[in-house]
Amino acid sequence: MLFRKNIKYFAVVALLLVVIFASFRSANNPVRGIILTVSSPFLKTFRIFSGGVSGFFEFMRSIGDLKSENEKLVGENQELLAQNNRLKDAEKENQSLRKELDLAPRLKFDLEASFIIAQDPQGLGNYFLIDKGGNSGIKTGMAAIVSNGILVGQVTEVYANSAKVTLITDPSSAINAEVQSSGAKGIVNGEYGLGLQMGMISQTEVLSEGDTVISSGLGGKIPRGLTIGKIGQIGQSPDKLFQMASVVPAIDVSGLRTVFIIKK
Amino acid sequence: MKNFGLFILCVVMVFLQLSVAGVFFSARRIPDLALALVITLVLTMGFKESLKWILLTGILIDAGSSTVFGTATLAYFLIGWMVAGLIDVADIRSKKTFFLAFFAAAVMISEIAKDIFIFVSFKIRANFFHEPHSALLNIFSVDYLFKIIYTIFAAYIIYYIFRRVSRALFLEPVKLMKK
Repeated sequence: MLFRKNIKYFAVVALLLVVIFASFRSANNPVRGIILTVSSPFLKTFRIFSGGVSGFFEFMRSIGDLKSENEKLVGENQELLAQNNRLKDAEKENQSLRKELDLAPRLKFDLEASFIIAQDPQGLGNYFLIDKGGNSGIKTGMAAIVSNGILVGQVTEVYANSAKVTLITDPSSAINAEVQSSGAKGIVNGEYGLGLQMGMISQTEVLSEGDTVISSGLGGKIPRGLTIGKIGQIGQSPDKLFQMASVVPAIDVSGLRTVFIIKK
Repeated sequence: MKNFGLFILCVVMVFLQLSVAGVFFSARRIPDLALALVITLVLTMGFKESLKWILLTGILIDAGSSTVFGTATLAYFLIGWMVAGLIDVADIRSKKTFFLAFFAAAVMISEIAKDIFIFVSFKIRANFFHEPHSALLNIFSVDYLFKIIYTIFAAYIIYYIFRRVSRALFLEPVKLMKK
């Protein structure tokens, strides 16, 4: 009786179960692609507008701190100008030495600036959607960075005008990494959005808390030299064959508005 | 006009959740506006009338999330059905305070049930294909508590605005659920 009364609803449940099983394997669902292609301009508009509103409120809140912050920034600016001059000098020296040694010039990235237009609506995953996709030359595996070379994630799904960037804090993410000071190599994995862990580090390597971790470039997908974070607690892998260390991410991705995708 | 209004409402609510909510709330505290909308629709229009809008909302949320396509839709559908079943056995709007408490409880239970459902679907897929899954669900965390509180407040606001605006914008009055 109950079944007959609600047969229409049971049919809907059955149909949805079929849809779920049909799309169980493939992440790149065509329906998902079509909806995202149509909706990405609207998502972008919504995001930009909300960013403006949020920025206005943040500005209103920060008015009291502006004076002291300004003084601090002037000091920092002077320091950075001096540092910049020193670096320019070093760059010139580096270029002439490279010429003398006949080394190839350092790689420069072909970057694609992209807006973050959406995040996981369920709050369960570690990814965001950007407003550039296959039409802009974005491909899966490309690295997403913020302007100063900090790695935030990797493109995992590409649609016509949008793409999904999975954060480095996602457990499915594995980045070949290196400790900048010692050259110790390992693999950085995400820990369910809680942070990062660097594993597979040889027992012979010496690690120190606070050392900077960068991408090693091994594997070819992620270029070398992108900042990942700093070494936190150091320990042993469960089988005691390798060292492992927690890595404090270099950036809090929750406040990001734009990222750059390294195309080449 | 009513259909167009409801279509726009569903689309805007999903866009707000996908795109805007992340600007104002941290990733793990984003209120589930779509769930709030589903419960509001069922309470004001009845399950049968709101069925197509629940499915539309679910499909749009599925498109923007990394869940197995269809799981959010199924979760919203089952939640709508469950809420409709509850209001069939009790006239929940007889007393305002009782209604507010029922509404909050319905949102809270639905949110937890939906998240567990989606989390389990992630785990099943991951175990089936031997791949790491990216979902994290800790219903006893502070973040999750805030998520529930925000969703309840969002549901109150959506319900209140929907009741007020629907009569003005949809021209023909939205049918109230059968007692």
